[in-house]
Amino acid sequence: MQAVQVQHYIERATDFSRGMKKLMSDDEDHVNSSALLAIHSAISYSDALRAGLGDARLSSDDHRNAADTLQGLLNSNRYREQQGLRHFKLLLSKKSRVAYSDHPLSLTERKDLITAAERFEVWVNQVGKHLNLEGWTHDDQ
Amino acid sequence: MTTNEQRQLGRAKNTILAFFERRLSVPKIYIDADWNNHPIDVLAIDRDGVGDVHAVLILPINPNSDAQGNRIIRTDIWVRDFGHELDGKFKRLFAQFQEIPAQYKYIATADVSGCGGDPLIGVPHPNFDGAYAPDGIGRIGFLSIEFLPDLDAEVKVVLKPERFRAKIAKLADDYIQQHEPDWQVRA
Repeated sequence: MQAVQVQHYIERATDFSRGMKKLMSDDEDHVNSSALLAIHSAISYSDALRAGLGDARLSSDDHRNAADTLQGLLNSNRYREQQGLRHFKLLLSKKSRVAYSDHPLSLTERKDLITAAERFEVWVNQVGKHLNLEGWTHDDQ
Repeated sequence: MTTNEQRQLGRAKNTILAFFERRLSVPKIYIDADWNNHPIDVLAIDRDGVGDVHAVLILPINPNSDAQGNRIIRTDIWVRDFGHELDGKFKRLFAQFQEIPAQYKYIATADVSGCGGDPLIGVPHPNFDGAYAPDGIGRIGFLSIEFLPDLDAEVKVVLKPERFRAKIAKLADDYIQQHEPDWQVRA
């Protein structure tokens, strides 16, 4: 059951990530949409990791504490390579700005958020693999 | 293959790399990969090496000049013969792909003449039946690489691939340990 949940969140995360890339290809269009997809991709990846680590308290709309919760779970699993969390924290800190602020998001800000999302994505995949989480990698039968 | 054709083939590989870079999630991408003892023109492993494996074989074609470099005049007979020749090449690639373990497999045609345009113009459609796995789970996708004059090369998806079953997580793990990718996002 846990593996199914992990795969569900990974599929959602990669869906957001691919959408982000598609929107990015129109240089100056969809600045906020692509940035918001970058943030939601990271949130879904974090949910996948949390589900894989046995955290049942997901699907909350309040993501402010998501990075701390993830850090706590990594600490309890004695996983020390936590450098990816700083990308996640940056992304979470910009969620309201991207979604609701009346100040337009610049192309540079968008680029920084997408870079952070991609680096978080690389890190989170490495964590899932190193911790051998059920559902993270799989072989067909 | 002439020097110009070699260069166009290299550009075709680079174009496929860019295609995967845009379409996959933080993939590791390898050009001229030796994958399980099979030469693969472009290999991409999704999600930083833990996701599905995508393998591309490029079919370089030159519909504008013959092996000696003489300009071709496209008569009806030439179009028919060229179509038969291509069908034969596709069938060999289908057979080659049966031995290659990957979740997604593609054949990419590339006009290496340097003249640009659609490499399949005037050529009968290949027999797509051979693109399916024997049990129907998996279909080879078809890409067409176009070099348009004064523009970037682009990849067109002629036929979308369908996912093959493959038990290759360990093979992918070993591969990424032993090979440096040509493209990846660093954490």
